[in-house]
Amino acid sequence: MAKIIIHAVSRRNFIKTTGLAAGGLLLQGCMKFSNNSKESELASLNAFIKIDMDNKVTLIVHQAEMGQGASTTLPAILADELGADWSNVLLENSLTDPAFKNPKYDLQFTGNAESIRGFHDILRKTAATAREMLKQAAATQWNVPKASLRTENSYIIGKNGEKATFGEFAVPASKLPAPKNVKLKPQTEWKLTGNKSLPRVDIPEKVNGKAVFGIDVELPDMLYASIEICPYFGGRIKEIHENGVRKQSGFVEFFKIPVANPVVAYPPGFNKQEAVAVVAKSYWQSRRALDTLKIVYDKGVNQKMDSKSLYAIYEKTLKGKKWHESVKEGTPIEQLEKVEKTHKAQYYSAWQSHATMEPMNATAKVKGDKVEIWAPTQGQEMAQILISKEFNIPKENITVHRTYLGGGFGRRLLADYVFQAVFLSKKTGKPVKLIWTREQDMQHDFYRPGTMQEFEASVDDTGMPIAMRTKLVSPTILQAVTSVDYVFEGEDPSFPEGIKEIPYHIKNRLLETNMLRLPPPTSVWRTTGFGPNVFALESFLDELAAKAGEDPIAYRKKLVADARSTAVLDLAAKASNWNKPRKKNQGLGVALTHSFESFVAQVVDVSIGLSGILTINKITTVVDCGTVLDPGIARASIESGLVWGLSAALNSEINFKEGRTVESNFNEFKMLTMPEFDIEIETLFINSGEKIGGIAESGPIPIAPALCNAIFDATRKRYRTLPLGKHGVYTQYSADLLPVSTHTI
Amino acid sequence: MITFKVNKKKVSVNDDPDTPLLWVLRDTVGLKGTKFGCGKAFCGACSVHVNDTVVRSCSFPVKYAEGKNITTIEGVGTEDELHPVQKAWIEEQVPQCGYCQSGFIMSTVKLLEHNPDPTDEDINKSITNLCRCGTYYRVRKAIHLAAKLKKS
Repeated sequence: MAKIIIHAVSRRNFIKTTGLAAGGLLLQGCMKFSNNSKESELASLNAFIKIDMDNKVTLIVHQAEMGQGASTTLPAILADELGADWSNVLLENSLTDPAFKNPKYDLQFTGNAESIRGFHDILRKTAATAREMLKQAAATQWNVPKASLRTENSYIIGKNGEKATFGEFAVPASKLPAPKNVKLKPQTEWKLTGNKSLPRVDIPEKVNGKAVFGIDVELPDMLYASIEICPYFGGRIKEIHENGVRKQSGFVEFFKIPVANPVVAYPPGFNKQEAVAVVAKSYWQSRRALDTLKIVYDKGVNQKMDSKSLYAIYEKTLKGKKWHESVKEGTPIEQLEKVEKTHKAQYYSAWQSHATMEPMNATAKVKGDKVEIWAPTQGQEMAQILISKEFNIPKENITVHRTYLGGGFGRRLLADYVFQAVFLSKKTGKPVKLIWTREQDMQHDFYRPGTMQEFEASVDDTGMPIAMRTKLVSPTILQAVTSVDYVFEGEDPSFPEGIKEIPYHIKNRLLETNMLRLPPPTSVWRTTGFGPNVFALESFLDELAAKAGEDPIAYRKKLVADARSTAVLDLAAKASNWNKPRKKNQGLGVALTHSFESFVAQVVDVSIGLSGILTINKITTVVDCGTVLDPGIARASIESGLVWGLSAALNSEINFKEGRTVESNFNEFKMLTMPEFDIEIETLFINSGEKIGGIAESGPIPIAPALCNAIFDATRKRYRTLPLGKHGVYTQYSADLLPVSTHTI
Repeated sequence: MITFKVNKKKVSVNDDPDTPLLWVLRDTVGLKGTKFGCGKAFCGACSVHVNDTVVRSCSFPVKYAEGKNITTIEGVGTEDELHPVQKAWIEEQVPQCGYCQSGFIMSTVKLLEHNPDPTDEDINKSITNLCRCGTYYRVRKAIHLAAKLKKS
């Protein structure tokens, strides 16, 4: 395998290696172009495929690599269909281009578990078209029917000994009209995808320190910046006292950065945060200088806001009468009033931070009306749109280079930090790299909002639901990344996910929503609306099953609306030894989700120790995402999701006090650690052959309800609010870190 | 002027003595494989070796590096021969976003020098780095594999 990821596509944008003192070999090794051919010899068959006369095939990676494996699987799909030699292809990160837009959203971005499911067919068609063009060029030259030719290992091969490299026909092929309705290879002919694990192309440089993330970008003559954003939501900067900052070594200048619209049209009241940035000759000098400044804030109208007052707004709204009717099927109200046996429960999932390991950062170079940006971004085009709007620069004058992302999880769709870097470069006339501190990153996230749900169901004599009424209270999830004003539409498409369409058949159903407007900014976070909503739904179903005296899997199977749900539940039951007699203090819990076009069933097996300590024995996950393209990457994605979901279920949460965020670093925002993930896991895939679904976001969805259902099974105690740490439910590791041992279940 | 060795090469820097070693390594020496994660020694993304110890370089003023031997991710293996820990990391396909992995690898290299055959319990006690992608399951497998590779 000899893959090279090139982080800047255009040759004009090649970043030179800068030599520095100390004899150290400098970075940017990954930004090199190992392709020695001249640009003019590169034949572009389409936006994704370029071939030079030496038969080097260059494939464009148009989705951000943030750990989900896009830079391996996406070009593998292209190479497979094209018949290219995988061991010899070159990979390039894309710039922005209409061809890279997700047609569902008319936008170029990475997220929503779309990389594979959104582009599998597009990439296959694109590569098949290029393949047919190469074959046509050869067929014309050789005077043979095109149908007699095939491609393999970057060769065009005929039936009578004809053989030529792609390179020999690349130029004539690129001049042919693109054929329509090309035939795609059946799965039986896929060699690189479809149940084959490829070594990931990005891993070698991620174990030797050479991978270039946004924070690693270096430009000649570059300045560095640190920032302090007004910590009070809706507050303003009142005064800035220099306090001797100009004497600080390396100091260049400080700037007050005005408010930016994070995306196109953002409703008032959201993240209108002023900031102060210091530009210096080195990053650490900018930090020291920023610390010197004395900044006085006007705390603004939200200074009394805290977690308690926010929670009270949710509860008041839930008891109120103002609802947007999201789903109404059958006659739910009549059925609920008619039947005596009803059950009602209220759930809450806490606010969460993305906490990507790489803090927000961006590098910008503004020259006249041309802007060049290097950023670890999921929202390449969104950054372009924002900068265009804020600085009144034509979109085509803005080049956004995408580096590796040190985590994305939705946070990096937004371009607030890109705006700041561009602002500073414009002001200083020099390239500027802006790096947020962890504290800034956590305090100025666009959070996964706290979400409250109320479920009420009436049941028949056998305990099965006749009608179900759901109320959802949550701020918007999707607003920050779109230009549609969802507040006026009553709901955004993301925030009712998981309870708007459910994998269960319940005849009479009502979903009412109230989309709150609260001061902290909110946005998409891995699992989007599904995470909190499926926690509520799957917990509630478990409660109904318990009321009916039924086994939770058997109960769900009576209700599921399709065979794929049944299949994942059955396999999860088998693999988790669901029917085996349980030990004392042992509990098993299940949850099901149909999300991002995939079906996932999960079983969590727990033990509750004598002192109330929670031990997770095993997590069994069964996934039907249609077709698995790369089992290794898919498995890693699910494993990753378990940790993500468990963090939010067990300990992590964002709180507010005096109009600002409380947590500012990892000692306060407690993510799952290595010692806590000493757990047996089993992950199974069902290849149903259905349309390909996403998995990166589906994996973490069922873990919280499955865990709470398992704790209920072991203890008969039902936890309806997350995280569990709030109830004193801890793993041994977390309990050991507590100042006082008060942990019992 | 503060003088020390980085990956066996002598280095002299003019940075303020209180500058964290992390930023000296990244911006003065130019070795960017060591990452900034939290700045408070919580996450371990900035882990390097100072003599025989794993140090979280974001919280280690460069003045204390005077005369010491520093090893970073760029120095644990060579172009031709990766360190067994790096080999195990590739074999088990550990990294996802990869940002925290230099820190995990540096911590593991030192763990195996002190404890050539760590149990899961030993790993739990020594590897406290944070990974938001949740690569922990494969990190654990890779540590056990690296122990085997080192022995053979």
